[in-house]
Amino acid sequence: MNIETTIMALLVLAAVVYLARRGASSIKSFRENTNCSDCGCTKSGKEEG
Amino acid sequence: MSTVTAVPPVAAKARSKPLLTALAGVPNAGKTTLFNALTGLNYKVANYPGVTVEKRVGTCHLAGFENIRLVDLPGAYSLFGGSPDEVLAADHLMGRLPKEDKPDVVICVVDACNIERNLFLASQIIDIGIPVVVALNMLDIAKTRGLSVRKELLAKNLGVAVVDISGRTKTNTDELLRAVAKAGSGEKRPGRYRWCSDKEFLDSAKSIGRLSRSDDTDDPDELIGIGIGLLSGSRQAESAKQRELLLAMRKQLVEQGVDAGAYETEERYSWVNSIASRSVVQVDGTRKDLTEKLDRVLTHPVWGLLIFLMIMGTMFQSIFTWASIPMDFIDSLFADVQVGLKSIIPPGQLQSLIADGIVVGVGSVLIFIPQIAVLYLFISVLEETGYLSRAAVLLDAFMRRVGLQGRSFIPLLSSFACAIPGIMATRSIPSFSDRMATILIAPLMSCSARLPVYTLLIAAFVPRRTVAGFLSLQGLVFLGLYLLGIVGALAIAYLLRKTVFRSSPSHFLMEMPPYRIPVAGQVLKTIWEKCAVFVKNAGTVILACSILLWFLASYPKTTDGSPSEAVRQSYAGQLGQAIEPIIEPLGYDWKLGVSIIASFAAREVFVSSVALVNNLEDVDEESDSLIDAIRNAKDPETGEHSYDLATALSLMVFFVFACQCMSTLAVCKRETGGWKWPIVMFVYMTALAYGAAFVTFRLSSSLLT
Repeated sequence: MNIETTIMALLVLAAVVYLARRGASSIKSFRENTNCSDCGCTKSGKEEG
Repeated sequence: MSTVTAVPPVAAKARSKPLLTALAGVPNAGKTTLFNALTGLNYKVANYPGVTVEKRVGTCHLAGFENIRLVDLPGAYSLFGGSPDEVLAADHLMGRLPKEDKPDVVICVVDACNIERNLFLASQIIDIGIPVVVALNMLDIAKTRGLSVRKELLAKNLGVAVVDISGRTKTNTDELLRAVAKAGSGEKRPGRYRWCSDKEFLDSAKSIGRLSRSDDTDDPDELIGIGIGLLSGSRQAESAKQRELLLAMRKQLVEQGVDAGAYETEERYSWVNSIASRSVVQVDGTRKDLTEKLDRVLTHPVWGLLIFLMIMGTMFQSIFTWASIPMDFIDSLFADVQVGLKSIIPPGQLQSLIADGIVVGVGSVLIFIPQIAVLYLFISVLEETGYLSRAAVLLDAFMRRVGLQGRSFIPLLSSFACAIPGIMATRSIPSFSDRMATILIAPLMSCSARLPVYTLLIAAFVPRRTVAGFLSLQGLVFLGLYLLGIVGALAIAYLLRKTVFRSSPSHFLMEMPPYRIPVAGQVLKTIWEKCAVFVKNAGTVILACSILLWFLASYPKTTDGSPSEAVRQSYAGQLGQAIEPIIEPLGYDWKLGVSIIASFAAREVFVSSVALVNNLEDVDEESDSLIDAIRNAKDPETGEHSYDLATALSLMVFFVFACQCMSTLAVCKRETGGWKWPIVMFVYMTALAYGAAFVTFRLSSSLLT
């Protein structure tokens, strides 16, 4: 596998992992009735507590 | 001058545990503005009631007061209110929330322009027995209305410290915190039940309260509180003896000509009014007239409605016209970047991924930043001025006809930015039926994520023409899509209220906030934040989706055939073709099918997906701008244009009604407490989107040919 294919494969893998983690986080928020972690529209400060 | 003796910040520092301080007050009193000023956090504030519906926690960031932990509570008119946000505020103040401590001190934020309404809640909070500091806010606006507040007299009558502050300009915040530290040191507790001058009544209430076994207390004030709760009906009697005493006391009050259930409320109002009339002096009546004059026009059934329609029309026209020049610039910039990258990176898969996948995918979304900025410029200015509450009053009569009320207006309007805060804002609606109907229709308001889809399709397929000499046709179609969402939402609300959520219409009362000139810094900050969220989304979800889509549209590799055939045989092509029979009646081909599936990750991904798939098909062509690429996309078999105006209209209508946002469904589940309503929401919206898109395509195809 040449360097070009390796970079390409890593980028695709990173995208898949990111989207999977994001999906898992959404499912978690469904289960636990927690705040939506995706949307920045209700706050922009860093919440505490 | 404050009525509080200054104490050094050390007083706050001396405690081992943080001083838990709640910020309470009526809606739109300025609690969150003060909370942001004290904590350095940046929660949303606006000049209308009901913005905060959850409690937020933060640590004071001002030097010397880091030991003060602040809790921002939703606004409430009374501790016995019925809406979920009011219940949350009351539960926190009375220590009824599980695993949460009762606050050590309460800062009661009082709007100096509406002292009477604010002091009713303040007197209830004082009765809880927690040390209270009154933060007298918006004195600057009170002065412009010709009002003068006698702060010392107010403090003396209430029996608590009163500090004049301005949350907006952060004036006197140090003094307020010193008062909080002093109150929290436990030196002096406020006198409770000052509103009641009838000692006999208080003694009877204490006797009844003593019979309650669930509250293990000997504190006379606590016992009076229990007795008053029983008398007003907010508590239930626990024993036959207690019930007997309670009946005797009610009978005695009735004999005196007093309504036993309303006794406390009436006495409290009477006391509050007498304090307010002594503490607030109208020194100049001319300024107040100006607000009344403005309100007479802006809430007028005819003139007010005309002005409202003009404002909305200007907003949607401007989103399209003002943003066109910077959008064209960004569009051509990304086309140049794509060409430049292709000349630097040697031809191959990596070049295709970066130039045709990432740059096209992310760039196609980023060109919409100017429109997002214009949309939030309008929303922010309308929020700051105080106009939105007038619009809610104006539309109340109209909304009643479809079974909603003016209180639903703010959540629905918030949904134009995003359905999530819109659904959360329904917590200020006390009626269950009204609240549920509003939650279910909120996602039909066109949120900012739909904006790129509308703009792309309008710019590509609706002619740039003016109507009636000055109105842009593209802007009118844009406005029409927003109106379609509103009309659809109202129709659904009507159906829901006539079938599932039948109940008599509830009353609508809304605080009219003072008119304010928007602060440029606040407006710019809102625009910046919203654009930053949009860019962050482009740099994360859209980037990841673009990479994945590029892979799915490029593999498996075919050894022969044209680029369009290669895309057709790719994984994405196969997926699109699998659903083609379902979407064909709507006028969509398999490429649009791929993009619609991809848009469930985020609606904006539709735009990048369309751009990406079409770009991969035309790798031999010179790089077009996004809009030209979609307009000129051709069916490789027939050589005809793939999409026309009928397809575009059908797609836009589909996006108006379709529920494609997982976060919205998640919030719906949380707010309604189960799976039932999110499932209902998803099913009815999807069916509506499909049906409306089908009708639109068939009608427009026959009319436009």
